[in-house]
Amino acid sequence: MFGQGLLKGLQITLQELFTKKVTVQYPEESLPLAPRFHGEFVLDVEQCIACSLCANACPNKVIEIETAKLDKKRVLTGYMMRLQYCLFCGLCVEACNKGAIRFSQKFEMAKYFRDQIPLILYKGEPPVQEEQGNTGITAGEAEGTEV
Amino acid sequence: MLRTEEITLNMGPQHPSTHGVFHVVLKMDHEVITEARPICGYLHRGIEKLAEARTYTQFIPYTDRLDYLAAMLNNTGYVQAVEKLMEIEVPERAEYIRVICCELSRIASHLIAVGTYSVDIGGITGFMYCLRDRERIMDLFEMVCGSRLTLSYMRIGGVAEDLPDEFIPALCQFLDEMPSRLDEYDGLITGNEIFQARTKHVGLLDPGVAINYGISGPNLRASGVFWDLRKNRPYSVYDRFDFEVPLGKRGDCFDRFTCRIKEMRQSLKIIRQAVEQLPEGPVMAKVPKVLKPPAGDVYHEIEGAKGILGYYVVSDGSNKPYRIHVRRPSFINLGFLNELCKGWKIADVVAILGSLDIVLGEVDC
Amino acid sequence: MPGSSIPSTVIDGLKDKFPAIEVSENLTITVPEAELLSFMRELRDNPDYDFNFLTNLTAVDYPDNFTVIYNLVSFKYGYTLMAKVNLGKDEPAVSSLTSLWGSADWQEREVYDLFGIIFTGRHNLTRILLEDGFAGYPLRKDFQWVGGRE
Ligand code: SF4
Ligand code: SF4
Repeated sequence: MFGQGLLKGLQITLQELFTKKVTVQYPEESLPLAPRFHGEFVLDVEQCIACSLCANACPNKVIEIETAKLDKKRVLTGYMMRLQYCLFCGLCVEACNKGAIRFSQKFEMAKYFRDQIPLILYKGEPPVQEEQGNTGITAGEAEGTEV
Repeated sequence: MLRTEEITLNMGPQHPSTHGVFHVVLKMDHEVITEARPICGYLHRGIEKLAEARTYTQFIPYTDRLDYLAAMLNNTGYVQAVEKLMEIEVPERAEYIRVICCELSRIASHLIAVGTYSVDIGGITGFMYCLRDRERIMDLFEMVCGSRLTLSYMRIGGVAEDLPDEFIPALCQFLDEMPSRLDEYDGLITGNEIFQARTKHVGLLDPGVAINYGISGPNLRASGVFWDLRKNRPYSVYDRFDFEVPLGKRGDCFDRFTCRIKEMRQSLKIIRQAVEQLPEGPVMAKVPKVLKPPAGDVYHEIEGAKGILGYYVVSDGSNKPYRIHVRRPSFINLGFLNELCKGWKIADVVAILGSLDIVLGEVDC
Repeated sequence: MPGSSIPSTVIDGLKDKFPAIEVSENLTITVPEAELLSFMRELRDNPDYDFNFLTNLTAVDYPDNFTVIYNLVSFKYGYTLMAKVNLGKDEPAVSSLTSLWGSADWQEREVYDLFGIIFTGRHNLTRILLEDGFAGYPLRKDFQWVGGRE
């Protein structure tokens, strides 16, 4: 009989009315993220030895590292990611064998202006030996990344 | 005698039923199509050229951006081609993980195909249902590799990371629930009389012509041609699984659609077997840090979601590929659109184009 | 990694019929441009091989020559075959295979678009991915792109 298929469809949608909702009210609620989630980057400045492995692994030249020589040692003076070119592929994180560059769970990275996109993970004086304990700058605190 | 005049109508480049930026110039005699000239390239990024400036590993994220609805399959095709060139033996566990991920990707891609096809024909509800379930696959991928769409999970020699502990239970739950969801689609979309009227006996594709035009994947199998590389030329560990290749009879839009739904059931079957057989062990072969395949070339094909996905890789012995060419199934399937649309009504063009299941990221490369 | 998977008897038979072809170690067949069409027609029409599926058609820009690559599949026997044609650097041209396989149509247009290789004996050889007025052929190694960064 013509129309049977239509009725079957209506029956399915009616059943669905009584099942649990799968959507959430986003800004108020949010779904849990997987531990491996590729969110915004964080840099553990103390761990970073400025070896540029991450920058070389990147397919899209996203990472720009500035270094300085300090007592024959190479130290980090700047770490900037041009996130507008980032593929979030994770090859940089994989390349770093110090575990210094990592993904965080932050995914709300939209910016109002293009010049705010570059993510400055470190900028400033090379960490001096005795101060090394408190130079950990995370993404949110670094200058130029606030909306 | 009525005066008739041929009219030209532009479908796209911005048109919901083209599933991306794609342009078809339709020439019509009244409502009947006399010519459908596809114009593609709006999404051309020159990925093959970009590859030449990148190392072998660095090209992996770019393969995601070809068929972005089935990124795992694109990754796999590429890494397998390079592995073939370098003669790398991939650990068993990695092969199984690849199979699981590839089949999940195939289901995700077919869910989009089925869902958007339902929208194209006018049933929005079906689309919502398909996307709801696809979301769960995205969640599974997020667990495995941290990304949802552009996954970049495969590596030359294995996979990036082992499966997390929570993955297998979540996957099993998905496998248990999915068959009833597929029944829902059957009830909601396949069984719908309006849907059947719009798709049955429309856009007939003759098997001989389909082969001649290089059409592959579900589109070819819907015409009754048994050609699935997972069966005909098994790669990876596909020869260890028991599954069927669904075939169509008439080769019309309806067959192409139902073939995809049936294939999802088979993919679930493969995943279930792969989970059962999943061996322990490493997930990455011993490969040098800097990959320098020997000079030479290789062509490798896998069964992608849209059809036969081939990678042609030429190496000159350096750490960057000399040339990479991708045989993109959507691109070649689309080459027959003109012939396929001729003689059908304008409303059928949407049905025919939707049934081919193209993805523009892959067409334009 | 073999370029083709076909029994050696088939290759020998082909060599007898087309003495000008060269078969490399990994079973890739290099065909002279002049014989391409007849060679391909034989491959398609002879029921002993029945290569009914032209799966891939592409080109490579080597330092000394252009090479056009054809990958054929026989559904009946499961054979695969890789054939190559070497072309000169100036005004490369090769016979079109659109008369044999419909799938050659778009793929040849793609190769023309990106490499500037002319396929003779076919109609509608126009750009397919790039816009019509585009200057140059991007996949040639000497192509200089403008724009981009750094
Ligand atoms: S995620 Fe990928 S693209 Fe982004 S910075 Fe890391 S390596 Fe580069
Ligand atoms: S983040 Fe890691 S890889 Fe990058 S420079 Fe620092 S230590 Fe080296």
